[in-house]
Parts: sequence; C-alpha cells; structure tokens
Amino acid sequence: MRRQKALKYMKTDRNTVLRAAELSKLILTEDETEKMVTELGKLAEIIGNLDIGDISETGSEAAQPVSEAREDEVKPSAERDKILQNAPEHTEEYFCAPDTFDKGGDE
Amino acid sequence: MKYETVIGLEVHVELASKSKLFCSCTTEFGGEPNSHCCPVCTGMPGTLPVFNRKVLEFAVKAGLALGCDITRVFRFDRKNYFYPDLPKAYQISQLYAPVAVNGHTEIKTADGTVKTIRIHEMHMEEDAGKIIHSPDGKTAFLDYNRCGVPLVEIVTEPDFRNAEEVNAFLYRLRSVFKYLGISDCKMEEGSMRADVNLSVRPEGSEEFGTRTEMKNINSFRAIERAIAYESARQIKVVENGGTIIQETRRWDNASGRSYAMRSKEEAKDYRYFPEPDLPAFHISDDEIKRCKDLIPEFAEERAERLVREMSLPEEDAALITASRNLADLFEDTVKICGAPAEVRFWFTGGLLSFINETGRDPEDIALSPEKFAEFAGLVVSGELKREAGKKVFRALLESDGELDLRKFIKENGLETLDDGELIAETVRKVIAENPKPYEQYRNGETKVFGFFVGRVMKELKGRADPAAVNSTVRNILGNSLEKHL
Ligand SMILES: [Zn+2]
Repeated sequence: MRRQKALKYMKTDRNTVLRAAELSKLILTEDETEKMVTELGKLAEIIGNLDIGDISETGSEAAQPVSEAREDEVKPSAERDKILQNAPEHTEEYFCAPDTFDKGGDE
Repeated sequence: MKYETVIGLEVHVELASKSKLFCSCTTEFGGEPNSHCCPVCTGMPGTLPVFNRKVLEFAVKAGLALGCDITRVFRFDRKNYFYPDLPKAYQISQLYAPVAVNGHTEIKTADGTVKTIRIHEMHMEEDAGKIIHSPDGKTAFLDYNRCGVPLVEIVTEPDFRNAEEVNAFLYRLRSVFKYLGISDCKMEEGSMRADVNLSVRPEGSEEFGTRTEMKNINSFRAIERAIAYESARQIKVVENGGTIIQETRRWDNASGRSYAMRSKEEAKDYRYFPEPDLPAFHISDDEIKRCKDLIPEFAEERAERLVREMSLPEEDAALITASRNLADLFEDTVKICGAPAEVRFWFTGGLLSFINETGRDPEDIALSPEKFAEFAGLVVSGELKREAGKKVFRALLESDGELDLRKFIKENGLETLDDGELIAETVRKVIAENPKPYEQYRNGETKVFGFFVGRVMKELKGRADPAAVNSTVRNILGNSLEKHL
C-alpha cells in the first residue's frame, strides 16, 4: 500500500494562485492575483506541453554509488559568534526570530 | 456500543553517526547552544549538502532488522515547511524512494500473545533545531545543534489496538536499534519520539474512523496516557453524535490532555519535490550483504537460546540480554571460565544490582570478560569465598574493571581462611562477647545458633567456609552445653 505519489498537473485558476500565495506567505492584491492567474497559467501550460512521458525511472542511471558518499568524520563546527552574525537578529547564544507561531490552543 | 481503537505509529529515531547527515558537525548531545553548527546546517545560501554514508549503513541495517525490502536506488526529497526550527524552510527527507519499505516485526504482549506489526516504510531525514519561546511570546530563540542530525522515521500500518501493543513495539524497536548499535533510543533526550495516529470505530467494523495525529509524546508512560485520553475523547465525540476532525493534536503531559493545534501550518501542503542538491544513490548487493552479515541475534532470540543452552531461568535470561553489552559480557565470560552458574550468580546479584543502584548505563559497563572470568575463577577454585567475594566484586565494578584482584584481596585480608584453629578461636571469642544469646542457647533456644554463625562469619570477613564455621560453632556450643550440664 504505497502512498499515491504520481505528480498531477493542476489547472491554474484563482484558487490555485491564492493557495500558492498562502503557502509562500505572500499577500496578493486583487490586481496581482489576476496577473498571476494569467502568467502562472501560461507557464504551467508550457510545462504541460513538454509531455516528457514516464519519468519515474529518470535519474536511476545517473545514480551515484553510495560508497562514494562522505565518510562519517567530525570536523570542527563554525565559531559561534561568526555563525550567529549571519542572522539579522541574535543574542550571544541564540538566533532570534519573531515568535508569531501558534503553539496550540484550546481543546 | 463497544468501540475499538486503531493506532498507527510514526517513530523518529536519531541515528548515532558521529557527524550530521549532510555536514561534518558533531551529533553529540548537549553542548553550548549553536556550538555544533556550520553554514550547511544553518541553511546559509550557497551551501550544499553532502551525504554521510554511515547513515545509509545504519538505515539499511535497521530496515533489514525490520524485515523490509531495501530500495536499491534511493533519493532524497524536499519537504517544504515554514517554521523557525528549520533554517532552510525545508527539511531534506524521503518521499518517493524511501530507503526501506514493506517490513514487519513481531511483538509479544504481557500475556504472551504474539502479533505481527507491518512496517509501511522507513525513510531517512534530518532533525530540526530547538525553539525556546521567550516569556512574552514575542521572540523565538533558536538552537540549531540538533538541526541536521540524522533520523530514520519508521511508519507502521494501523495494526495496533491498544497502548500495550504500541509500547511492546517501541520496546522491541529500542532493543533492536540498541543491539544494532545505531541509536541509544533515549526517549527522555528525544532520540526516540513517537507520533500516534489514532481513530476509533464500532467493534466489528471494517472501516477506519477519522484519525487524529498526536505529536510530542516522549515517554512510554506518556504514550499510555495519551492513547487512553485520546480514544476516550473520540468515543465521547462519536457517542454524542459529533464528528472527529482530522487534525494534529499536541499531547501535553503536564495537564494530561491533548490539544488541537490551530496553526495554519496544519493546512499541510509540504510541496514535496526531488531534492535537486543531492544525486540519487545506488546500493550494491555487496553492500546489502555486508549489512546483513552484521545483524546480530536480538535480545528475545538470545534470551530464548540462553534458557535452552544454559538452563537459565527466563527472568535472568531477559535481564542479561536486555543490553547487548551485558549479554556479550555474560556469554564471553562463561566461555572463558566455563562456570555458567557462578557467572550468573555474580551477574544477576552483583552486576545488575550495581547498575540499579548507581543508575549506570548498561552499555557503559567496561568490565572485560577476561577480568570477570578471573574473578569467577578465584571463587570456583575456593581461593575466595562468595561472602568475601561480594566486597571484591563491588570494588571491581567500581574500578570499571581495572582492579588488581589478588592485590586487593591480599591488602584487605579477604583470602579464604582454612585455619581451623583461628575459626575455633573466633567462635570462642564471639561466645564470650555475647553472654546473653549464649544464656538463651543454654536454655534450649536453639534459634540463636544462626546468630553465632553470622557473627563469626562477620568477624572473619566472610573468608571462611560457611560449612566449617557451622560445624565449629556447633561443636563448641555443644561442648560447652555438656560441660555446663
Ligand atoms: Zn553543520
């Protein structure tokens, strides 16, 4: 009982665009939504026209022998103050992000 | 109406590779926050993941031990979700070609019933970081030390009907993984975590009810409680004419309740796609065979064999084989000294109680079979009496197996005493020092006999042969009785 794994082509309508926007954390205006429906629709059509047939085995022939993958060796991690500098906000120990996430509510 | 609970599990187990799944940072538990991090595991742009092949070896072993088919060409896929515990905003996981599929394992519940649990699949993925929420709820402090630590996720079919079966499976899984040396499976440290998918249906029904998924359960006890709570909750909803909503619920162990997670994140759409930064990998027959050859005899099978071959009582065999390290120690020691009964005596009495008292991890016991055999040999040959041996054995364990046995015995005067005159002298001394029990004995209260034997043994530090002490006490007390009359 394998999971349904076939990729499906979706019709690009208003709902698809709004869903994609939601997943991308984007807020679109009415104009932008309309524009996206048209433009993404065209893109999807081009991709749909490619009709590349069965791709389920694609890549297998290019598979790399796993023996060529990395050896399990520990190397020094980055210095903490350097790695923390990559974030817009941090303390001496932690990266910081806005905590606007729902942590679960009432039953 | 009677209801049946139907449960499936998703179990995450951290694998004990030294370095992370896609970078060379250490996987060591703990450490200062963000001290086990690099640009790869903190998701910096321009970095690329590099696959650690040890993780594959561990996953293949786990897959084989769970009776799975190993996927010859496996790939990684990107699971997109937006949450600060994941700096890349996606997790590298496996969806389309997981490393192992279609397995099964047997569990045994307390009443001895054996049941087969089917494994849907097992895949590799990277762990996420830790979030600490600020008290005002405005800031998330992020520690990415665990981020990128390799995990396998084992997905079972919905074959469980109660918490006991679930825990039997998790115990079995833990034992197998520890025997394979691929994980320490410590629930309290989060290296083994279970998500419980649960639904209820009228007994006899073939259709599945709507299920909920409970996350965040991190002990065997919590699993029992969470299952009891959630099935009762669902039955109540159904009986009151309501419908179960398919949702993720967070188990809160402190309040003993599960809560619906209202987050939009729960509108699950992970937009999986093949990971473009990693190639597909191919496993050869040789590599699979090599893993197969490394699969040991597991705890339950081993316990059965010990019962059969060495006539061990079942409980002892179960205790001994609970840890692979201890079971190896036991069997190797017996092989060297050829005295299974003596080794068992020190094992169950001495070693296991030492572990219980000190809370040591059985896997960390460093005593070598050679040393253990040397000790057992001293007792078998009579150089050391069991009573005196207790002190020696304890010191041996406390020294992590480093103790010089003969030196310790000599320095503490614990060698066996076969000096009949010294025993007799000690008996007379003990009698002289305890006039009251002696009086009792003379008045026919023979039960105090044991008291004298015990005292004499203690005076002699357990070094004397108990039979010799017994007969000496009997003789001297008897003689004195005659004289008295
Ligand atoms: Zn790293």
